[in-house]
Amino acid sequence: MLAAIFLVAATCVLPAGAGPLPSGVLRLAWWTDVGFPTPFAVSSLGPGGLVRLSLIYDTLTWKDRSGAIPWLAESWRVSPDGRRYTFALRPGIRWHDGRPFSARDVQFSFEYYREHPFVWADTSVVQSVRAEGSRTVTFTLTEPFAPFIEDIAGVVPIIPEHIWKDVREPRKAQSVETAAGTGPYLLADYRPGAGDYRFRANPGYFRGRPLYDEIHYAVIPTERQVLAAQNGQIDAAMADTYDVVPAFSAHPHLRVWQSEPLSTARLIFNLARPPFDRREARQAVAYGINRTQLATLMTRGPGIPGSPGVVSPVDRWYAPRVRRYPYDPVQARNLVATAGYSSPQIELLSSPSPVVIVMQDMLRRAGMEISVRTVDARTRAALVSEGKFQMALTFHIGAGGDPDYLRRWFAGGEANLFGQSPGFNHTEFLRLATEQARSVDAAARRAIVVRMQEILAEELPTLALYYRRFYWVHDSRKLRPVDTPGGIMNGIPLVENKLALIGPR
Amino acid sequence: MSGWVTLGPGAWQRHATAASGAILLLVIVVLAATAPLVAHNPPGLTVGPPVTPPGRGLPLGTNVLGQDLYSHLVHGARTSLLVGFLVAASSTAMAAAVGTASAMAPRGRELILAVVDLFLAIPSVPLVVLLVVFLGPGLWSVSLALLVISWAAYARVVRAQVLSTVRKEYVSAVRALGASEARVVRTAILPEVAPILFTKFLLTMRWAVVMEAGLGLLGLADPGRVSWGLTLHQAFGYPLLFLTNAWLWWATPPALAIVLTTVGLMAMGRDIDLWLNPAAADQGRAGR
Amino acid sequence: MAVALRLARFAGLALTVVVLNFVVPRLLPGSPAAPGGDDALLLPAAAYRALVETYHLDLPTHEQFGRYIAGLVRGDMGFSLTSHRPVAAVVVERLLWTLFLVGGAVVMAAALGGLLGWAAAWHGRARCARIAMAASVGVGALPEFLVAMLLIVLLASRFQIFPSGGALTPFVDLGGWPRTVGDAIWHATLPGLALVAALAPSFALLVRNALVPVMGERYLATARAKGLPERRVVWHALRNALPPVATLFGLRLGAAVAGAAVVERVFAYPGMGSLLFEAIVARDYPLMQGVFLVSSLAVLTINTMLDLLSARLDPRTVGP
Repeated sequence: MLAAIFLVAATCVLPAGAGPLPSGVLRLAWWTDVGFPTPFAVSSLGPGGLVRLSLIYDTLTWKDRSGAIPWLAESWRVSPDGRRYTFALRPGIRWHDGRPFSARDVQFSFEYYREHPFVWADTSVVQSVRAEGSRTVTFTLTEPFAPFIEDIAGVVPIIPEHIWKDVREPRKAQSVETAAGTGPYLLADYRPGAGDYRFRANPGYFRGRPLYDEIHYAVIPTERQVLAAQNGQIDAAMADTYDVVPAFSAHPHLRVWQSEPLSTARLIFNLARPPFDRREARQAVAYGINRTQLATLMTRGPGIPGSPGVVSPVDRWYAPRVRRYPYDPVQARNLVATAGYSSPQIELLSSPSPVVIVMQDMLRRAGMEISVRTVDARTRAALVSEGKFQMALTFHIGAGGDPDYLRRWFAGGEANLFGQSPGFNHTEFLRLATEQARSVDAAARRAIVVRMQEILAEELPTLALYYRRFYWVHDSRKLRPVDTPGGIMNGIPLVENKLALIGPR
Repeated sequence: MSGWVTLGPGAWQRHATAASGAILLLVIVVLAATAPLVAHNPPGLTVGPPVTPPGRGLPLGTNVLGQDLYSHLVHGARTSLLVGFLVAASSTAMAAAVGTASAMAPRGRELILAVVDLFLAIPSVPLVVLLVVFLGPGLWSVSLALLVISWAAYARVVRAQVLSTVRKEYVSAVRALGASEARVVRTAILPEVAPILFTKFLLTMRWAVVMEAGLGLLGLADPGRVSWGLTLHQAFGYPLLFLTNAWLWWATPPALAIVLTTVGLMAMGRDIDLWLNPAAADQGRAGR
Repeated sequence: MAVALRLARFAGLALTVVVLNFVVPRLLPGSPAAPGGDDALLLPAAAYRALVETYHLDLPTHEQFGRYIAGLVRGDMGFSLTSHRPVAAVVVERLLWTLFLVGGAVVMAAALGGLLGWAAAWHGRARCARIAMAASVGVGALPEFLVAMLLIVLLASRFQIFPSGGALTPFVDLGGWPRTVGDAIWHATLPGLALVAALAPSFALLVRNALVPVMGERYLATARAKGLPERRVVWHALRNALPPVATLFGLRLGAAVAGAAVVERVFAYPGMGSLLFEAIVARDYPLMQGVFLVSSLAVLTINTMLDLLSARLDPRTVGP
């Protein structure tokens, strides 16, 4: 029964590029403390915590510039019905405390996560996990799940059974010894409140030699990070506008690495309330906003206007032939009239952002008066999940990697407190969303995902306004970033893919 | 409010500070009132590429949206002054009313005093942040939040003054003549409390102008309303602010505007204080 | 009698604060369990349920209130919903930093301001006293966040003399506590300067205003005439200025417990001000309760003590 569909041979993938990088300390920054770095206590606000976990913990698979690769696993097989995944684990892996890593730990991890769910991945599709010997582990899923390799095996950190098996309240287990994994770096010190983290190299790391003796994280407000990098206080700084690229083009050693455009600025429509219960009204907004101009203005560089199918044009799942809605204020006016709204009063819910000002202007020219209700992010999330809004503006990352996010965002049900458009109950879309996740045939899945984008573009439960890259100003003498298609794990545009932090053995 | 003013022998020197303060403030008020005439570009209009340095027709360059920063500076004065005035006026009125009531109300003085104490006990800046998050950033919510935390302290001061006034003989005399309580308050109490209220008004206005900008800097400014705080917030959010000379033409003008406004208010405060309390000033001079 | 009344009122207010503490955070729209921030990914249903169950967010409000009160009685402020650490531990940790930074700044501001005010009153004609007073008031007119930014740009960036943020150099074993204290002072210098600049002028003005009238009074002249040494004469005058200064000092110190939200945020200083901001942003109810409780009770206690010391509030000094 275990006829192999494909077998991925283990290849030791290492960061490309010539010349050795110096060892020493890599100093990184983030805008806030992200909590104690275990899968249970780490902050779920923003991707900073998840990425820091990936230094300590490993996953069965990982991503390099070519896509998913084996990591703790040496290879994997999937049964023809797509419900059974068998991983052969690498030999000789040890936990940070020296105990050997085994298939039991993988089984334990997933069983433990059933009791104490992991915030960053929905593992409910995993029916059972069985360790066979010390190096083989088999997952049985409740149904075929195409994103399994990337979104579950590539995201869920494997934790040591010997540390966690007796822990009843894992959120509260916060001593340095608890945060032991198999990863390239181990937690040496964490200062809560200050948000200072110190990671030390794990010299025996199985995938390669850690490049740095230590990695430090400090808290620096986002707006001051570039200055700190320029002053040599940190080795990499994040910016979300293009203008840092020309600013550092002539710098002797500071370079700018651009992430994929994995952050989306989009409008969420409430389909359960007028005026956006009418498709024409939503389409009018799409025609009424000059997305190209908005993108260029807001990113201060070559902007990437939003695709009505949500998936960004640089994504390999992008469907180019969806309905496009080129900027056309006249058409917008006509549609508003068709929808039966003479001069609709529309309230836009948004956290403070200059985007709304520009949009307000554009939509006024298209015959729509927008009043803006500015609230903080939590308030917006609450109002959206309660359906107390007409149209809301949101920015978030994760628009990349496995296209299952189209299901999670628009057909995810309860899990989806934040992203959904209330009242979007398109029968075909919901059916396709489930179908693509179950689809074991890559070509068939692609066709479904294309069709889903077509429906999104036609129905517009949301309107992608533009995509944002993150620009990392970094010291090229110390750090050589790795391009990761679709971002680290499930769509994270951060610079610290652990492949960039280890070298050949 | 500084010592050397009181030391001059002539009235002119004595009032020079106040006069310059008043003139300074007047200039800012006039600029704010005539903003659309002084700055031709509407503040919401995109007039050039984002973050353009000063040049022809754009004396202070443009912000992230390519809007005229000079226009924002002038129009922003409206928000700052309006918030300052609203907060100062409402807070002073509230302090006066509650303070007088807690001293003279026939019933419930203890209760009023307890409420005052409660407001004094709640940490003020955290409460403002909470209120603005609760109400959503905006001119009215910021004004309301600032009112909530600023009235209580002076209510106690007013109360103390009223209590000491009520004990004075002429108040008893006015009462004995059969004047109503309202009349007592108007004719006997108010003149005694007025100097305190003037000081309170100016101090609160100055404080409110600064707080409005501070809240803006924390990201609690309404992005739809041009204000000095918003300009500063956007400037400090620009990653290259201090890597280029953008700070000079983007962040410095609103900062200077805030400073000039507060200096103007302080200078006026000093003189009103002297004018209403000549005895204190005379004492001050005699002290040397 | 008056003392008993004061204490009774204190108890009443403290109880009100305890209740408000529970109510106010829950008035805020938004839930601690819902994913909220920009750039936050979605929360899986199972994880959402687990969070709600762990922290009893699904209990009826009155039961949550019961738990909160029962916890307080036991001296337990619960667990932070974001860091999953005991609120008491988090608050104490931040409180120490805030007392160090803001408390220290209040003490320095009182000392410096007092000195300036005294110099202005005593040596009013001396050029340097005038200039110092004018400079102090001038700097005091600047909003503290601007002073903070200015200090960062100048002394932490252009000239990298001081760190631009944080409370300690991360992860450097400095070898012994004297060096660690030195490091803490080094980190607190810029935010401390910004705070002192904002606080000192009111002390200076207060001391000057309190001294100037007194110095004209007959008993000083008498004191001099009696041939008292000048030092004693000065002391005579200072004693008069003491009550209002003590009042202001107490008020500022009480307020200091709540931290300095703006300066702490600008300098990424791990104090109470930034803690409360983080708690509000995350709707971390227990943490908000803890911060508000501790800071309100501190202010309330100091106010009551000041009242008991029967210091009359001076109109020119109090609050905004």
